[in-house]
Amino acid sequence: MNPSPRQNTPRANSGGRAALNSALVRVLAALSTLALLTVFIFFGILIRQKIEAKKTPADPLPASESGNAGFPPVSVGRDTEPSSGQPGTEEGETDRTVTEPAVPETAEATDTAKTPETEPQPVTEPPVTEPPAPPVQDPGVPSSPVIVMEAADPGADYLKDVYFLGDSTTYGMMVYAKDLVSYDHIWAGSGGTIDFTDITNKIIKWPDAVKSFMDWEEITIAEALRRARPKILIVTLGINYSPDGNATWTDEKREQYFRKQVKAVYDTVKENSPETKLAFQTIYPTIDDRTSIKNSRVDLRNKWLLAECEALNVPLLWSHTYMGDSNGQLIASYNADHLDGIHLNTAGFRAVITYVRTHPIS
Amino acid sequence: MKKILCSLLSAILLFSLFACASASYRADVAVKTLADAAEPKISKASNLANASDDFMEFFLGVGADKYDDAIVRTPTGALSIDEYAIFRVKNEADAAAIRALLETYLTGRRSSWDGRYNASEKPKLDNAKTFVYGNYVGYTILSQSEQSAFLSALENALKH
Repeated sequence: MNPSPRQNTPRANSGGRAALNSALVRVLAALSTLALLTVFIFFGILIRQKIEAKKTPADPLPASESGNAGFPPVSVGRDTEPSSGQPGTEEGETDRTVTEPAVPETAEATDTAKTPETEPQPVTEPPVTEPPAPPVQDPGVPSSPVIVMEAADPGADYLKDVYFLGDSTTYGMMVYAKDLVSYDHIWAGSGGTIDFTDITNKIIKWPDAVKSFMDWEEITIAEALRRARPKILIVTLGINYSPDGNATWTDEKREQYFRKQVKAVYDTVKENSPETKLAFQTIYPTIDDRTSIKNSRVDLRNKWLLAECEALNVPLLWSHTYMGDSNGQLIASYNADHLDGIHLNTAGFRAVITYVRTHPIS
Repeated sequence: MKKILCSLLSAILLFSLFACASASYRADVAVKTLADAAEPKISKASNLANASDDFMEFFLGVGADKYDDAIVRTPTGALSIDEYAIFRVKNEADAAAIRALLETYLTGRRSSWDGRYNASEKPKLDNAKTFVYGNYVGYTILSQSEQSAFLSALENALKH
């Protein structure tokens, strides 16, 4: 009797199992080979990347820097008007050429080793070195030992050491340059402004992370200095100067009093935070057609500021020329949205920060 | 006729007594005491600080030789223009001289008014005035109501 075709005989089962096992082994072998190949390819790519990285120099202008939305270069030519808008959308590259003084070879590098012998050693002539190139003076800027010269940009970290004290032309940084300057490094008066009179009595709003600006604590500049002890303080004051409109004052008297206010700021810093490096900044140009604060008066005040900075030997950032066009007016595209001829917008403050970074206070 | 003459003489006596009474102020009160009495009438007094010597010299033009006691309180911020000064002088002539200087100061303030940040404060400057109470002379730049209260408190503190 023949077995039922449906019955599985042990002999038939062993043959099928062996075939199955064989197939499985083949599949596993293939997968293992594939996996091994993948690993080898991956390491190969890694090694190749490392080799290529060593050959290519680092990019000198990183696209963005940590801590902010990026600080793209801004066109700084007098005749070009940088676009305004959100950070990171600026076009054009800076055409500022920073000429750094050549580093001369030091004598130590060529000194011959001393010998204990009593015989005099032959005198070697020091190598002939070119004198360092003088720093480049910004065009249109007065020549003065206190005016800060252009230098290499120390980078965004520099601003972490800098505090800004000023009137509404500084307060605007909180709105238009908040990606570049931390709000707690901006000292402005109540209402966002300060008149440059009786300056030691004037209050500033002490930055607060929680409250709105109107509710910030009001303290004197002296108290702010004692609290913050800034490494660098840049003071931009003087566009609000009520004596200028006082018909009973002469320009001579206005100058005397203006310079006394500069001195008062200087004394306040020295008395309350002597380790702070103080620098003044010129009043920005205005647009004559849009404001009653004419450039002729601004120029005069900047002249007084320069005179007092020279008398006190305090650095002065002469950004005034940098911020103006060929007619000495504020570059139009730097003016804030309400076009008052005085206050700066995002593009304007970017230019200011560019200037500050390329004229670091040492 | 007699009745008319009596009435006339009584009226003259009454007016003369009234005149004498209104001109009598103390001359020995420290200006700080007066400020303590009057300054609470200013709602934003916390915004005031003692003016610097440079302010006295440049803005008021009042030399130290013209008074023997003074307090000048000026605003610390841009939003309020409340301000006042009280000088104690030696005699009426000095009071008149200082008053003239303070009037010049107020004129200069009005001519240099910049209302970009505090236009609503202008009425205070328009309302600003100088005052003299015996040997005390000064000025206020305050709202109408606060000025009245301030001067009233000042005058009361100076009465015998």
